[in-house]
Amino acid sequence: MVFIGMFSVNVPAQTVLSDEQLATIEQRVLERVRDFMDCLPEIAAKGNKTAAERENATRYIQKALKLCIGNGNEYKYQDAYGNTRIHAPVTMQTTSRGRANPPKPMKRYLNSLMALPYQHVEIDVCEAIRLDKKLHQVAPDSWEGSATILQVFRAETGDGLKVIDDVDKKQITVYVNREVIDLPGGDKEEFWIVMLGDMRVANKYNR
Amino acid sequence: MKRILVWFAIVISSHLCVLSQGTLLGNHTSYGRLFLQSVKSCDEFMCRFNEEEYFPILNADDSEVGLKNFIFLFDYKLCDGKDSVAFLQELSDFYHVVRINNIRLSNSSKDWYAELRADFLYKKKIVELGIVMQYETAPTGLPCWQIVGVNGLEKIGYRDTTNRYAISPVQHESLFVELDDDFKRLTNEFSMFRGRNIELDALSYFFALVETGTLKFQGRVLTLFHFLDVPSYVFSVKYHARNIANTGWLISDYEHVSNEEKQVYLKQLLGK
Repeated sequence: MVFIGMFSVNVPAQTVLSDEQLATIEQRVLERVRDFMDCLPEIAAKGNKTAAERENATRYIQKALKLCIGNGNEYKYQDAYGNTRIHAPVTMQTTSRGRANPPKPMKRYLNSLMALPYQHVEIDVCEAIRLDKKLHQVAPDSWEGSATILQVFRAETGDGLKVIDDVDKKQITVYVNREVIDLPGGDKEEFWIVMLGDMRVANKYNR
Repeated sequence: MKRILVWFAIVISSHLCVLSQGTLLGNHTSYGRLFLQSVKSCDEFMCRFNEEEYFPILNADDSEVGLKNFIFLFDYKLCDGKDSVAFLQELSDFYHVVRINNIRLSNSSKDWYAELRADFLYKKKIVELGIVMQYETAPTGLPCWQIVGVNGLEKIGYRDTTNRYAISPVQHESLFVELDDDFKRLTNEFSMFRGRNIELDALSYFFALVETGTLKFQGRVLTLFHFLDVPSYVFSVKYHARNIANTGWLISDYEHVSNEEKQVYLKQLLGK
């Protein structure tokens, strides 16, 4: 009996997220994904960048990395058994000529994006994001899940020639942390902080 | 059934059409519709199987929406080489077993297994093994996946046979000198010297090879999910990357089995 009592102390109850909370998280995920995708054209556009353009692109790289868990670096986390583990830097998978490339560390991906020779880049993200209905709890106020998006990547050279016009379905691991702050009058407000993880190609659509 | 067959024919033919080019994204474009129709995650597969949501192409007020939704969860290629009426009847029977038994798939099911097929380097050769995992709860109360089995080890010499090699009953008098030679010549079958009632454990064998660096991970090949939740059925789900509406996580294999056959299936999956 004593054993059961001691054991149960270590077992936090799993929180079931309400539909309303899931809807809010989904919205945050979509915003986070859009913020990330918005950085990419700024990094990739204008081949043969001037010093000022490079500086601007570097700022967007830093901004994009801040949206990723671990800021694009290795990071420490606790697994379900409470062990402190090290997670590899988040990765990005892309396609080229209809084939999925091996995933690259995000930092390397963003830096290589800066060196692309395109003059104009557009990235659209589908409104119809699909976030898992069941997020998996990994700590008392943390959950993990996956979101699927549809992404169009278009790039043109300086003479207006469209060289890339890809549509990819991408699956993104998302990390969700809940923060609760006390408001005057004893009320509490809940915030959801979403960080992006590995992004992989689920489908390459031929156009 | 005839009505469903006609419907199925129409739907499958529309499924096979590569949707026309869309210039914008969103629900209203062809890519958007394709995106909505596809089964994008295992989570979405379970939601659709459990009828918590339906394929968007279906009308929720249709009296046969459940069966139609169920049929959409199958890879259309399973119909290849089969009589379509018989195939639909099989799926219909399967569906009724699911509904009569009120089966709901969930992450916490003890009858749900994930199999990661991966390539390993073993003695300069590439071998594909299946690492089988199950969803568990850690002592902290948090969920996680854990490895519960491995299959394919017979490709690298693992065998669990009833045959045994005997060591001479007088060997203790000569300090087991015979074993010197056996260790050299019988390296591939040394486990046959074990006691008659001692069973081999595939998972321990696998972990030993990995931890000693004998088996080196090369890369992931395929992820499969095996569901044994439905009485008299086993089915597997894998990802189908296609430019047609029948895409995503779909049932790629199913079998109507007896309880004994289900146990054999599980033993093979876990490498026992």
